[in-house]
Amino acid sequence: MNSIVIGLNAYRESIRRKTLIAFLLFAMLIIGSSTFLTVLSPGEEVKIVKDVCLSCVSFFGMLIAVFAAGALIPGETDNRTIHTILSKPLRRITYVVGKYIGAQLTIILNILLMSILFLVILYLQSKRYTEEAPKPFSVTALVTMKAMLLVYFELLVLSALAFAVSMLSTSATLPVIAGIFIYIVGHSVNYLKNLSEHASSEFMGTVIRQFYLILPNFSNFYLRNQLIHDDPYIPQGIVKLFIYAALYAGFGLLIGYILFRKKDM
Amino acid sequence: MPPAIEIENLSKTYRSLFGLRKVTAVDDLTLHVEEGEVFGFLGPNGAGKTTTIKILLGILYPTSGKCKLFGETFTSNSAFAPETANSKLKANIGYLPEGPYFHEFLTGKEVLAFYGKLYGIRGGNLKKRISDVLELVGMEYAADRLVQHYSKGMRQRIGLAQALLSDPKLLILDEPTVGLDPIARREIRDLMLRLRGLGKTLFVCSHELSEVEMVCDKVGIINRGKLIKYGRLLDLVLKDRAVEIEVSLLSEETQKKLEAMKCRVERSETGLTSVWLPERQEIYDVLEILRSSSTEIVEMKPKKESLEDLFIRTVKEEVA
Ligand SMILES: Nc1ncnc2c1ncn2[C@@H]1O[C@H](COP(=O)(O)OP(=O)(O)O)[C@@H](O)[C@H]1O
Ligand SMILES: [Mg+2]
Repeated sequence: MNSIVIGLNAYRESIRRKTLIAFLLFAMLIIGSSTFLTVLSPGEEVKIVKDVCLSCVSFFGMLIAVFAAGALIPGETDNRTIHTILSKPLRRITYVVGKYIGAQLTIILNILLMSILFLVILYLQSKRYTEEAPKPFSVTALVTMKAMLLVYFELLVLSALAFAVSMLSTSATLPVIAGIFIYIVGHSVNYLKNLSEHASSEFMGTVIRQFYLILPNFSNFYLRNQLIHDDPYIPQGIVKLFIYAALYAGFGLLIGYILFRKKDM
Repeated sequence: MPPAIEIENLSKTYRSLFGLRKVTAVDDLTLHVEEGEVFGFLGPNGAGKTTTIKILLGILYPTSGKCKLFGETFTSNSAFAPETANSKLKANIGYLPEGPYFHEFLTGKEVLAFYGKLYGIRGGNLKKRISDVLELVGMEYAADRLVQHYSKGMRQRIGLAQALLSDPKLLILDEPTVGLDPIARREIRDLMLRLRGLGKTLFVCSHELSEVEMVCDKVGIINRGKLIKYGRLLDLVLKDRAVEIEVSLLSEETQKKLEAMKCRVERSETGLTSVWLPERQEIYDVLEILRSSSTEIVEMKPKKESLEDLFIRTVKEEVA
């Protein structure tokens, strides 16, 4: 119950943060103007809009997630409100879970706003380029919503990992850098797999293999092909992907809690 | 009844990231505060007061030693011990942090609602508690303003208000009057007296001595992490220097006589000399010596050593 109190408070604080608002506005600007980019390649308008918007939601969603999750506890340590809060009858685990909930609410709000604009743009496009979209808009909308949901699953993991790293740091810089790094590596896991198979030495191959085995494979959450082909079928299944994400997120949270449990504040 | 606070052999060493630099902020501290007592925890800046308080509250973990609150062990330095835990215990504690800071995007009332909920107070009860504490600290008039527009004194009051939300038995106040104007100081002091009247235990940490002096039953003076004076205020001061006699032109011979009687003689630059008496009842003997040597008495006043005198003397003795 106290987690919810902490979470709502963290959410109220986060949505006021200028960095996050700037990221959201920037993302909205790109999504909103994506239709103008299509003049570069006539005939592929819908495909380009989908491509641009998906990568935009993914990228800015990532920035929002790592900034939102990574800055919460360093921020509260910096302004010392954490002392007052920890003096109250609540356990540190409650506090950690509450802050994570707050970050999730912030991320969900941002993803929701971006998704709505994305859908609006797609809807307008479907009116304009009927010949390019053979399937009804309802199918496109369904696939888009699935794609957005999976982007959020990825951010669930990413924010938990950035959150864990933030326990080691007095500022948001380290968790943000770590988050961006994990995002890039997590999206390159398939390349790592390739790399390990073609590595110059046995040893290098093993090292790289360990990496891709422990890292979350974010390409699973990136429904680019399905989106472009209006194909709602996800081979791994949404439930499985959710469990996959939840396990990673739970692991991140656990590490975060272990680091925070006995930390001097 | 167990003491409200028991601190036993508490030490805290801060280490930098790689353990290269070490600061021992609290060094083998032992003290007790009984229930209903007002304890003044005094010391110069950097003495280790805030560190001690944070350990008491489980915000910091001690390097060694332990703390008990109301007879229950509260903090432990073992890595496997449960985290600070005992919520029920914490509901009995109100804490005013040093230079309190709140979520700036909230109003005073919202700040109190947030902390009130963390105490598990809800609904109509919460509303009532909020208006009670706002009245107690005299902040009803500004309760709906954003905290970011509050002055230092107003923050301090909201800080006190949030500490009082659960009507706690023990209040831990870290520098409650620092940086306030004289009127605000007076009001906070009166509030502390009121709380004392209500039977609360107060642990007041300060270097503003004249204020503490007026409210405390017991004091502990800490310097560089070590407790160097500890006891009832009345026992610590007044033992010495009961009367101060100011005289003009004191002869060496008379001075020797006085010193033989354990008086302390201080010659000041103004040409006047202060004679300090150890105990009041010898006053006529001293006056007799002064009279027989025809020493002119300029002023004579019974003098109680102030806490400030005690503090400065103790800290100086420590340095010497
Ligand atoms: N987080 C910290 N890391 C390292 N040293 C610290 C830290 N906090 C306080 N100190 C040092 O510990 C000593 C005691 O500080 P503190 O308890 O804040 O004193 P006080 O409250 O009596 O002014 C000081 O020398 C201070 O510099
Ligand atoms: Mg202090």
